[in-house]
Amino acid sequence: MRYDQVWPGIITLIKADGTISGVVGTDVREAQTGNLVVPSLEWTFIAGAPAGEMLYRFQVQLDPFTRTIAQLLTVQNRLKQRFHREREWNVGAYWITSRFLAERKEPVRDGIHSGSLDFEFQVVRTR
Amino acid sequence: MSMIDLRGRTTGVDEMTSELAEEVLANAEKSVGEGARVLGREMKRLLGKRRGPSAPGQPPAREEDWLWRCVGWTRAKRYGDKVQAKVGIGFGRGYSALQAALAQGVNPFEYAWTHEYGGISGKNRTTRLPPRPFARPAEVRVESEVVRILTIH
Repeated sequence: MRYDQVWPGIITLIKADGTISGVVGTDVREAQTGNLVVPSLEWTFIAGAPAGEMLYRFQVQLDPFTRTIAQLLTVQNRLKQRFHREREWNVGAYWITSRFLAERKEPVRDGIHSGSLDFEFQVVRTR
Repeated sequence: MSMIDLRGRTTGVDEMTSELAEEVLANAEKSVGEGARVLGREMKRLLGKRRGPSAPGQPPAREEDWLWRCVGWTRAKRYGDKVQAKVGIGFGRGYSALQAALAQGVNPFEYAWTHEYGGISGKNRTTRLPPRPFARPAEVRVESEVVRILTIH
């Protein structure tokens, strides 16, 4: 089990979400060095639990960049609503659990609002 | 018929309680100290893994040697009935490296933060510095080991 077997399904869900795409459009991409696109939503794979743990889990940081605080809060709240869940849910062939871990508000710089969110996803079983 | 009145008295309960508490705290000190060492070593291992440019999502390369040197951990200490050890920038052996960096006008905390969480930079604030985390991955990687250390004693 690897993160890249589960994560594409979650990205598809994010892109298909009307509330999120209403703010960031289709600019949902992996974080990279270079020009900043505003609005956009970037993700970074933080870590996967080492082999040997019974259930595979991984953490991802999500960074929305928007022009207004209202847009930022809309995206952040929607991400938490979608991915902080009490129960198992399925992505493609996998049943997973997901939870919100932490958030950080960045200072507003040149009209760019950003604040990252950390989530943990755990694969519980295969369908 | 006369009633027989039996009365007992225990002695030494307070002494036993303090001895037990002392034993538990002594074990906790060992475990917490060992847990801090495991986490600190993993952070240093991730920071010292590579040289050359690092990809987004990967820990920063060891070109910035002082970041590696600034990471340290303290011995476990008792604070009342709590035991605490600290891991991170400037703790334990990292303290002298931190002082040296500060003397050169470098702020290791800001630097470590930008590496860990990413940020925006550039003259017109148009350049994205993606996260190159080392603290969170270390935590995830050693979490089960640290839990084992803290529970099997």
